[in-house]
Amino acid sequence: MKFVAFDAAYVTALCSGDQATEQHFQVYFSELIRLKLRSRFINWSEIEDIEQETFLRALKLVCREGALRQAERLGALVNSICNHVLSEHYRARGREEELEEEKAVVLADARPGALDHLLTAETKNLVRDILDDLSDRNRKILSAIFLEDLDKDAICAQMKVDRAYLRVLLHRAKRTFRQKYDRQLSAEPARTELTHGSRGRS
Amino acid sequence: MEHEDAVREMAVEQYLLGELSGADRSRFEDHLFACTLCSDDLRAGRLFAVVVKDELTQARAVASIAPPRRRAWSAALLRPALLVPSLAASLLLLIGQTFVAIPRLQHRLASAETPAFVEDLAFASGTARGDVADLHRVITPPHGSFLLSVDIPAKPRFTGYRCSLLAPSGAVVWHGELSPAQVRDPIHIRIPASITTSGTNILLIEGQSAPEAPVTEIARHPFDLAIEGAPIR
Repeated sequence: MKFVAFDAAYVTALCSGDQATEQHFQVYFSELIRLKLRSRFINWSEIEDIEQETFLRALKLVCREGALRQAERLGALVNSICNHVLSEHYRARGREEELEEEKAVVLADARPGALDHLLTAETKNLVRDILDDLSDRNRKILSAIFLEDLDKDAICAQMKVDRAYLRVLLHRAKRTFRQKYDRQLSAEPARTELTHGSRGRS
Repeated sequence: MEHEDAVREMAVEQYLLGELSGADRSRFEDHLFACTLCSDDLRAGRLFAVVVKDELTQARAVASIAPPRRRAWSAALLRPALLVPSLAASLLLLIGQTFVAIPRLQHRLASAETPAFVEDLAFASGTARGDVADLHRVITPPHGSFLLSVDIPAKPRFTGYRCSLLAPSGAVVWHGELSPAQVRDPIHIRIPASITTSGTNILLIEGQSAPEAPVTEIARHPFDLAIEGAPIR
Protein backbone atom coordinates (compact mmCIF):
# COMPACT_ATOMS: atom_id res chain seq x y z
CA MET A 1 0.00 0.00 0.00
CA LYS A 2 1.51 3.30 -1.07
CA PHE A 3 0.66 6.72 0.18
CA VAL A 4 1.78 10.22 -0.56
CA ALA A 5 2.73 11.73 2.80
CA PHE A 6 1.63 12.28 6.38
CA ASP A 7 0.44 15.80 5.70
CA ALA A 8 -2.41 18.06 6.77
CA ALA A 9 -4.75 16.53 4.20
CA TYR A 10 -3.99 13.06 5.53
CA VAL A 11 -4.69 14.09 9.13
CA THR A 12 -7.91 15.85 8.09
CA ALA A 13 -9.10 12.75 6.26
CA LEU A 14 -8.16 10.54 9.22
CA CYS A 15 -10.08 12.69 11.66
CA SER A 16 -13.09 12.99 9.41
CA GLY A 17 -13.52 9.24 9.44
CA ASP A 18 -12.34 8.47 5.93
CA GLN A 19 -12.21 4.67 5.89
CA ALA A 20 -9.35 4.31 3.44
CA THR A 21 -7.19 6.69 5.47
CA GLU A 22 -8.10 5.00 8.75
CA GLN A 23 -7.28 1.62 7.28
CA HIS A 24 -3.97 2.88 5.97
CA PHE A 25 -3.13 4.47 9.34
CA GLN A 26 -3.78 1.22 11.17
CA VAL A 27 -1.99 -1.03 8.69
CA TYR A 28 1.02 1.29 8.42
CA PHE A 29 1.63 1.73 12.14
CA SER A 30 0.41 -1.66 13.30
CA GLU A 31 3.46 -3.48 12.00
CA LEU A 32 5.86 -0.89 13.38
CA ILE A 33 4.22 -1.05 16.80
CA ARG A 34 4.30 -4.84 16.77
CA LEU A 35 7.96 -4.94 15.76
CA LYS A 36 8.76 -2.42 18.48
CA LEU A 37 6.95 -4.46 21.13
CA ARG A 38 8.13 -7.84 19.89
CA SER A 39 11.73 -6.64 20.13
CA ARG A 40 11.10 -6.33 23.88
CA PHE A 41 10.01 -9.93 24.56
CA ILE A 42 6.38 -8.97 24.92
CA ASN A 43 3.97 -11.81 24.10
CA TRP A 44 1.41 -11.52 21.33
CA SER A 45 -1.70 -11.09 23.45
CA GLU A 46 -0.14 -8.20 25.35
CA ILE A 47 1.09 -6.72 22.08
CA GLU A 48 -2.50 -6.58 20.81
CA ASP A 49 -3.67 -4.83 23.97
CA ILE A 50 -0.89 -2.25 23.84
CA GLU A 51 -1.40 -1.73 20.12
CA GLN A 52 -5.14 -1.12 20.49
CA GLU A 53 -4.64 1.30 23.36
CA THR A 54 -1.99 3.15 21.35
CA PHE A 55 -4.32 3.58 18.39
CA LEU A 56 -7.21 4.73 20.58
CA ARG A 57 -5.11 7.38 22.27
CA ALA A 58 -3.36 8.42 19.06
CA LEU A 59 -6.62 9.03 17.19
CA LYS A 60 -8.11 10.88 20.15
CA LEU A 61 -5.08 13.12 20.48
CA VAL A 62 -4.47 13.72 16.77
CA CYS A 63 -8.07 14.70 16.16
CA ARG A 64 -8.26 17.07 19.12
CA GLU A 65 -8.17 20.53 17.62
CA GLY A 66 -4.73 22.06 17.62
CA ALA A 67 -3.09 19.01 19.17
CA LEU A 68 -0.92 18.13 16.17
CA ARG A 69 0.70 21.28 14.89
CA GLN A 70 2.87 19.54 12.32
CA ALA A 71 1.22 16.71 10.43
CA GLU A 72 4.56 15.23 9.45
CA ARG A 73 5.18 14.54 13.17
CA LEU A 74 2.30 12.04 13.18
CA GLY A 75 4.66 9.06 13.20
CA ALA A 76 6.74 10.43 16.06
CA LEU A 77 3.53 11.08 18.02
CA VAL A 78 2.34 7.50 17.57
CA ASN A 79 5.74 6.23 18.77
CA SER A 80 5.63 8.52 21.78
CA ILE A 81 2.13 7.37 22.73
CA CYS A 82 3.22 3.75 22.35
CA ASN A 83 6.11 4.44 24.73
CA HIS A 84 3.70 5.80 27.34
CA VAL A 85 1.34 2.85 27.01
CA LEU A 86 4.28 0.47 27.25
CA SER A 87 5.55 2.15 30.44
CA GLU A 88 2.10 1.82 31.97
CA HIS A 89 2.04 -1.82 30.93
CA TYR A 90 5.33 -2.46 32.73
CA ARG A 91 4.13 -0.69 35.89
CA ALA A 92 0.85 -2.59 35.86
CA ARG A 93 2.72 -5.88 35.82
CA GLY A 94 5.14 -4.83 38.49
CA ARG A 95 8.08 -4.94 36.12
CA GLU A 96 11.10 -2.87 37.07
CA GLU A 97 12.52 -2.43 33.57
CA GLU A 98 12.58 0.96 32.04
CA LEU A 99 11.77 1.21 28.36
CA GLU A 100 15.40 1.66 27.50
CA GLU A 101 16.73 -1.22 29.56
CA GLU A 102 14.97 -4.05 27.81
CA LYS A 103 17.22 -6.34 25.85
CA ALA A 104 16.38 -6.71 22.16
CA VAL A 105 15.58 -9.85 20.17
CA VAL A 106 16.10 -10.92 16.58
CA LEU A 107 12.93 -10.00 14.69
CA ALA A 108 12.39 -13.20 12.75
CA ASP A 109 9.19 -14.58 14.21
CA ALA A 110 5.75 -13.68 13.00
CA ARG A 111 2.45 -14.06 14.82
CA PRO A 112 0.82 -17.09 13.24
CA GLY A 113 -1.27 -15.94 10.33
CA ALA A 114 -0.07 -12.36 10.41
CA LEU A 115 2.08 -12.60 7.28
CA ASP A 116 0.19 -15.39 5.50
CA HIS A 117 -0.96 -13.07 2.74
CA LEU A 118 2.67 -12.23 2.00
CA LEU A 119 4.12 -15.76 2.25
CA THR A 120 3.17 -16.71 -1.27
CA ALA A 121 4.85 -19.50 -3.19
CA GLU A 122 6.55 -16.87 -5.33
CA THR A 123 8.04 -15.13 -2.31
CA LYS A 124 9.27 -18.40 -0.86
CA ASN A 125 10.83 -19.37 -4.19
CA LEU A 126 12.48 -15.99 -4.35
CA VAL A 127 14.04 -16.41 -0.91
CA ARG A 128 15.03 -19.99 -1.72
CA ASP A 129 16.92 -18.70 -4.79
CA ILE A 130 18.67 -16.09 -2.69
CA LEU A 131 19.67 -18.72 -0.13
CA ASP A 132 20.91 -21.04 -2.89
CA ASP A 133 23.14 -18.28 -4.26
CA LEU A 134 24.80 -17.76 -0.89
CA SER A 135 27.96 -19.55 0.11
CA ASP A 136 27.64 -22.41 2.60
CA ARG A 137 29.21 -20.25 5.24
CA ASN A 138 26.74 -17.39 4.74
CA ARG A 139 23.82 -19.79 4.70
CA LYS A 140 25.05 -21.25 7.99
CA ILE A 141 25.35 -17.78 9.44
CA LEU A 142 21.78 -16.88 8.48
CA SER A 143 20.60 -20.20 9.88
CA ALA A 144 22.43 -19.55 13.13
CA ILE A 145 20.86 -16.11 13.40
CA PHE A 146 17.27 -16.68 12.29
CA LEU A 147 16.64 -20.37 12.81
CA GLU A 148 18.78 -21.37 15.76
CA ASP A 149 18.71 -17.89 17.32
CA LEU A 150 22.25 -18.28 18.62
CA ASP A 151 24.14 -15.59 20.44
CA LYS A 152 25.72 -13.26 17.90
CA ASP A 153 29.12 -13.22 19.60
CA ALA A 154 29.13 -17.01 19.58
CA ILE A 155 28.27 -17.03 15.87
CA CYS A 156 31.09 -14.58 15.16
CA ALA A 157 33.60 -16.61 17.15
CA GLN A 158 32.58 -19.87 15.52
CA MET A 159 32.43 -18.54 11.96
CA LYS A 160 35.45 -16.24 12.46
CA VAL A 161 33.64 -13.12 11.38
CA ASP A 162 32.86 -9.87 13.17
CA ARG A 163 29.53 -8.21 13.95
CA ALA A 164 29.84 -5.88 10.98
CA TYR A 165 30.02 -8.94 8.70
CA LEU A 166 26.64 -10.12 9.97
CA ARG A 167 25.08 -6.72 9.24
CA VAL A 168 26.63 -6.50 5.77
CA LEU A 169 25.46 -10.04 4.97
CA LEU A 170 21.92 -9.21 6.04
CA HIS A 171 22.02 -5.87 4.24
CA ARG A 172 23.06 -7.45 0.93
CA ALA A 173 20.60 -10.32 1.19
CA LYS A 174 17.79 -7.92 2.08
CA ARG A 175 18.72 -5.63 -0.79
CA THR A 176 18.60 -8.54 -3.25
CA PHE A 177 15.29 -9.64 -1.77
CA ARG A 178 13.78 -6.15 -2.08
CA GLN A 179 14.89 -5.80 -5.71
CA LYS A 180 13.41 -9.16 -6.68
CA TYR A 181 10.31 -8.73 -4.52
CA ASP A 182 9.54 -5.29 -5.98
CA ARG A 183 9.92 -6.72 -9.49
CA GLN A 184 7.56 -9.53 -8.51
CA LEU A 185 5.02 -7.06 -7.09
CA SER A 186 5.13 -4.82 -10.14
CA ALA A 187 4.32 -7.83 -12.28
CA GLU A 188 1.15 -8.47 -10.26
CA PRO A 189 -2.24 -6.72 -10.83
CA ALA A 190 -2.34 -3.18 -9.40
CA ARG A 191 -3.46 -2.90 -5.78
CA THR A 192 -5.58 -0.24 -4.15
CA GLU A 193 -3.63 2.98 -3.69
CA LEU A 194 -4.37 5.74 -1.28
CA THR A 195 -3.75 9.11 -2.90
CA HIS A 196 -5.04 12.60 -2.37
CA GLY A 197 -7.48 12.15 -5.23
CA SER A 198 -9.11 9.04 -3.82
CA ARG A 199 -9.94 10.42 -0.40
CA GLY A 200 -13.49 11.41 0.36
CA ARG A 201 -16.21 11.11 2.92
CA SER A 202 -17.56 7.63 3.34
CA MET B 1 18.74 10.47 14.21
CA GLU B 2 18.63 11.58 10.58
CA HIS B 3 18.04 9.15 7.75
CA GLU B 4 21.69 9.40 6.67
CA ASP B 5 22.75 8.35 10.17
CA ALA B 6 20.42 5.35 10.03
CA VAL B 7 21.88 4.28 6.69
CA ARG B 8 25.48 4.80 7.76
CA GLU B 9 25.00 2.92 11.04
CA MET B 10 23.01 0.13 9.31
CA ALA B 11 20.38 0.77 11.94
CA VAL B 12 17.70 -1.31 10.19
CA GLU B 13 20.02 -4.33 10.12
CA GLN B 14 21.00 -3.78 13.74
CA TYR B 15 17.33 -3.60 14.71
CA LEU B 16 16.50 -6.78 12.82
CA LEU B 17 19.43 -8.55 14.47
CA GLY B 18 18.38 -7.42 17.93
CA GLU B 19 21.59 -5.47 18.36
CA LEU B 20 19.98 -2.17 19.28
CA SER B 21 18.92 -1.65 22.85
CA GLY B 22 18.60 1.17 25.32
CA ALA B 23 18.95 4.73 24.12
CA ASP B 24 20.17 3.64 20.65
CA ARG B 25 17.01 1.64 20.09
CA SER B 26 14.79 4.48 21.29
CA ARG B 27 16.65 6.89 19.05
CA PHE B 28 16.15 4.64 16.04
CA GLU B 29 12.48 4.02 16.81
CA ASP B 30 11.86 7.77 17.04
CA HIS B 31 13.27 8.01 13.54
CA LEU B 32 11.64 4.81 12.25
CA PHE B 33 8.10 5.93 12.95
CA ALA B 34 8.74 9.16 11.04
CA CYS B 35 10.76 7.80 8.10
CA THR B 36 8.93 5.87 5.40
CA LEU B 37 12.21 4.79 3.78
CA CYS B 38 13.45 3.07 6.93
CA SER B 39 10.06 1.64 7.80
CA ASP B 40 9.70 0.14 4.30
CA ASP B 41 13.21 -1.29 4.61
CA LEU B 42 12.44 -2.77 8.01
CA ARG B 43 9.22 -4.36 6.79
CA ALA B 44 11.06 -5.93 3.86
CA GLY B 45 13.85 -7.11 6.12
CA ARG B 46 11.44 -8.67 8.56
CA LEU B 47 9.52 -10.45 5.80
CA PHE B 48 12.82 -11.74 4.46
CA ALA B 49 13.86 -12.97 7.92
CA VAL B 50 10.54 -14.74 8.47
CA VAL B 51 10.67 -16.49 5.10
CA VAL B 52 14.34 -17.43 5.58
CA LYS B 53 13.46 -19.02 8.90
CA ASP B 54 10.58 -20.88 7.27
CA GLU B 55 12.72 -22.11 4.37
CA LEU B 56 15.62 -23.20 6.58
CA THR B 57 13.21 -25.02 8.89
CA GLN B 58 11.80 -26.95 5.95
CA ALA B 59 15.26 -27.69 4.58
CA ARG B 60 16.31 -29.05 7.95
CA ALA B 61 13.19 -31.20 8.18
CA VAL B 62 13.99 -32.74 4.77
CA ALA B 63 17.62 -33.35 5.71
CA SER B 64 16.69 -35.14 8.91
CA ILE B 65 14.97 -38.01 7.08
CA ALA B 66 16.54 -41.28 8.30
CA PRO B 67 19.15 -42.88 6.05
CA PRO B 68 17.99 -45.89 4.01
CA ARG B 69 18.08 -49.22 5.80
CA ARG B 70 21.03 -51.50 5.07
CA ARG B 71 20.26 -53.81 2.21
CA ALA B 72 20.23 -57.59 2.66
CA TRP B 73 23.26 -58.19 0.44
CA SER B 74 25.53 -56.16 2.73
CA ALA B 75 24.84 -58.50 5.66
CA ALA B 76 26.50 -61.37 3.74
CA LEU B 77 29.81 -59.52 3.85
CA LEU B 78 29.91 -59.80 7.62
CA ARG B 79 30.21 -63.60 7.63
CA PRO B 80 33.57 -64.74 9.19
CA ALA B 81 34.69 -66.57 6.06
CA LEU B 82 34.68 -63.33 4.22
CA LEU B 83 35.37 -61.00 7.11
CA VAL B 84 38.81 -62.27 8.24
CA PRO B 85 40.53 -62.08 4.85
CA SER B 86 38.88 -58.71 4.34
CA LEU B 87 40.24 -57.42 7.59
CA ALA B 88 43.75 -58.68 6.78
CA ALA B 89 43.68 -56.98 3.43
CA SER B 90 42.46 -53.82 5.09
CA LEU B 91 45.33 -53.95 7.55
CA LEU B 92 47.90 -54.26 4.76
CA LEU B 93 46.26 -51.38 3.00
CA LEU B 94 46.36 -49.30 6.16
CA ILE B 95 50.08 -49.93 6.65
CA GLY B 96 50.79 -48.98 3.06
CA GLN B 97 48.79 -45.82 3.35
CA THR B 98 50.34 -44.76 6.65
CA PHE B 99 53.96 -45.11 5.60
CA VAL B 100 53.83 -44.46 1.89
CA ALA B 101 50.66 -43.06 0.44
CA ILE B 102 49.73 -40.55 3.09
CA PRO B 103 53.05 -38.72 3.19
CA ARG B 104 52.88 -38.42 -0.58
CA LEU B 105 49.30 -37.26 -0.32
CA GLN B 106 50.22 -34.63 2.20
CA HIS B 107 52.81 -33.28 -0.13
CA ARG B 108 50.24 -33.12 -2.92
CA LEU B 109 47.84 -31.27 -0.67
CA ALA B 110 50.56 -28.83 0.18
CA SER B 111 51.02 -28.03 -3.44
CA ALA B 112 47.28 -27.31 -3.60
CA GLU B 113 46.53 -29.65 -6.44
CA THR B 114 43.75 -31.43 -4.56
CA PRO B 115 40.75 -30.12 -2.65
CA ALA B 116 41.35 -29.67 1.06
CA PHE B 117 39.73 -28.13 4.09
CA VAL B 118 41.22 -24.71 4.74
CA GLU B 119 40.88 -22.19 7.54
CA ASP B 120 38.64 -19.33 6.49
CA LEU B 121 38.78 -15.83 7.90
CA ALA B 122 36.21 -13.22 6.91
CA PHE B 123 36.41 -9.46 7.18
CA ALA B 124 33.50 -7.06 6.75
CA SER B 125 33.63 -3.66 5.12
CA GLY B 126 32.87 -1.92 8.39
CA THR B 127 36.24 -2.68 9.93
CA ALA B 128 38.15 0.04 8.12
CA ARG B 129 41.08 0.12 10.44
CA GLY B 130 40.77 -3.11 12.46
CA ASP B 131 41.41 -3.23 16.17
CA VAL B 132 44.83 -4.85 16.69
CA ALA B 133 43.85 -5.89 20.18
CA ASP B 134 41.07 -8.04 18.83
CA LEU B 135 42.86 -10.07 16.11
CA HIS B 136 41.35 -13.16 14.62
CA ARG B 137 43.72 -16.11 14.45
CA VAL B 138 44.34 -18.43 11.52
CA ILE B 139 46.25 -21.68 12.01
CA THR B 140 47.64 -23.54 9.02
CA PRO B 141 50.11 -26.40 8.44
CA PRO B 142 53.49 -25.45 6.91
CA HIS B 143 52.53 -26.35 3.34
CA GLY B 144 48.87 -25.55 3.70
CA SER B 145 46.83 -22.56 2.73
CA PHE B 146 44.06 -20.45 4.19
CA LEU B 147 41.21 -18.38 2.86
CA LEU B 148 40.59 -14.70 3.41
CA SER B 149 37.10 -13.41 2.61
CA VAL B 150 36.41 -9.71 2.52
CA ASP B 151 33.59 -7.36 1.60
CA ILE B 152 35.01 -4.33 -0.17
CA PRO B 153 32.78 -1.22 0.05
CA ALA B 154 32.45 -0.08 -3.55
CA LYS B 155 32.84 3.66 -4.15
CA PRO B 156 31.75 5.31 -7.43
CA ARG B 157 35.02 7.30 -7.64
CA PHE B 158 37.17 4.17 -7.83
CA THR B 159 37.72 2.52 -11.20
CA GLY B 160 39.75 -0.30 -9.71
CA TYR B 161 40.76 -1.92 -6.43
CA ARG B 162 43.88 -3.61 -5.13
CA CYS B 163 44.23 -6.24 -2.40
CA SER B 164 47.70 -6.72 -0.90
CA LEU B 165 49.04 -9.08 1.72
CA LEU B 166 51.63 -7.55 4.04
CA ALA B 167 53.86 -9.98 5.94
CA PRO B 168 54.81 -9.27 9.57
CA SER B 169 57.96 -7.55 8.27
CA GLY B 170 55.78 -5.06 6.38
CA ALA B 171 56.82 -6.39 2.99
CA VAL B 172 54.13 -6.81 0.35
CA VAL B 173 54.22 -10.53 -0.40
CA TRP B 174 51.25 -10.60 -2.74
CA HIS B 175 48.84 -8.24 -4.46
CA GLY B 176 45.93 -8.60 -6.87
CA GLU B 177 43.75 -6.19 -8.87
CA LEU B 178 39.94 -6.17 -8.92
CA SER B 179 37.37 -4.42 -11.06
CA PRO B 180 34.31 -2.58 -9.65
CA ALA B 181 32.13 -5.44 -10.90
CA GLN B 182 34.15 -7.98 -8.94
CA VAL B 183 33.79 -6.17 -5.60
CA ARG B 184 30.00 -6.25 -5.75
CA ASP B 185 30.24 -9.66 -4.07
CA PRO B 186 32.52 -10.81 -1.25
CA ILE B 187 36.08 -11.52 -2.40
CA HIS B 188 37.75 -14.80 -1.44
CA ILE B 189 41.55 -15.06 -1.53
CA ARG B 190 43.36 -18.35 -1.11
CA ILE B 191 46.76 -17.72 0.46
CA PRO B 192 49.49 -20.41 0.47
CA ALA B 193 51.21 -20.25 3.86
CA SER B 194 54.58 -20.53 2.11
CA ILE B 195 54.50 -16.94 0.81
CA THR B 196 54.44 -15.34 4.26
CA THR B 197 55.45 -15.97 7.87
CA SER B 198 53.75 -16.45 11.23
CA GLY B 199 52.76 -13.30 13.07
CA THR B 200 50.56 -10.30 12.40
CA ASN B 201 49.82 -10.15 8.69
CA ILE B 202 47.67 -7.48 7.10
CA LEU B 203 45.21 -7.63 4.22
CA LEU B 204 45.30 -4.14 2.73
CA ILE B 205 42.49 -2.88 0.50
CA GLU B 206 43.10 0.14 -1.73
CA GLY B 207 41.11 1.96 -4.37
CA GLN B 208 42.29 3.75 -7.48
CA SER B 209 40.34 6.47 -9.27
CA ALA B 210 42.31 6.19 -12.54
CA PRO B 211 44.92 3.75 -13.96
CA GLU B 212 47.91 5.99 -13.20
CA ALA B 213 46.49 7.73 -10.14
CA PRO B 214 47.86 7.03 -6.66
CA VAL B 215 45.97 4.45 -4.62
CA THR B 216 43.84 5.35 -1.62
CA GLU B 217 43.70 3.08 1.39
CA ILE B 218 40.16 1.85 2.02
CA ALA B 219 40.65 -0.73 4.74
CA ARG B 220 43.34 -2.61 6.56
CA HIS B 221 42.54 -5.99 8.14
CA PRO B 222 45.22 -7.37 10.46
CA PHE B 223 45.08 -11.00 11.50
CA ASP B 224 47.29 -13.34 13.45
CA LEU B 225 48.75 -16.16 11.34
CA ALA B 226 50.19 -19.22 13.04
CA ILE B 227 52.02 -21.62 10.74
CA GLU B 228 52.42 -24.84 12.66
CA GLY B 229 56.02 -25.47 13.59
CA ALA B 230 57.22 -22.06 12.36
CA PRO B 231 58.52 -19.37 14.72
CA ILE B 232 56.62 -16.11 15.00
CA ARG B 233 58.63 -13.15 13.69
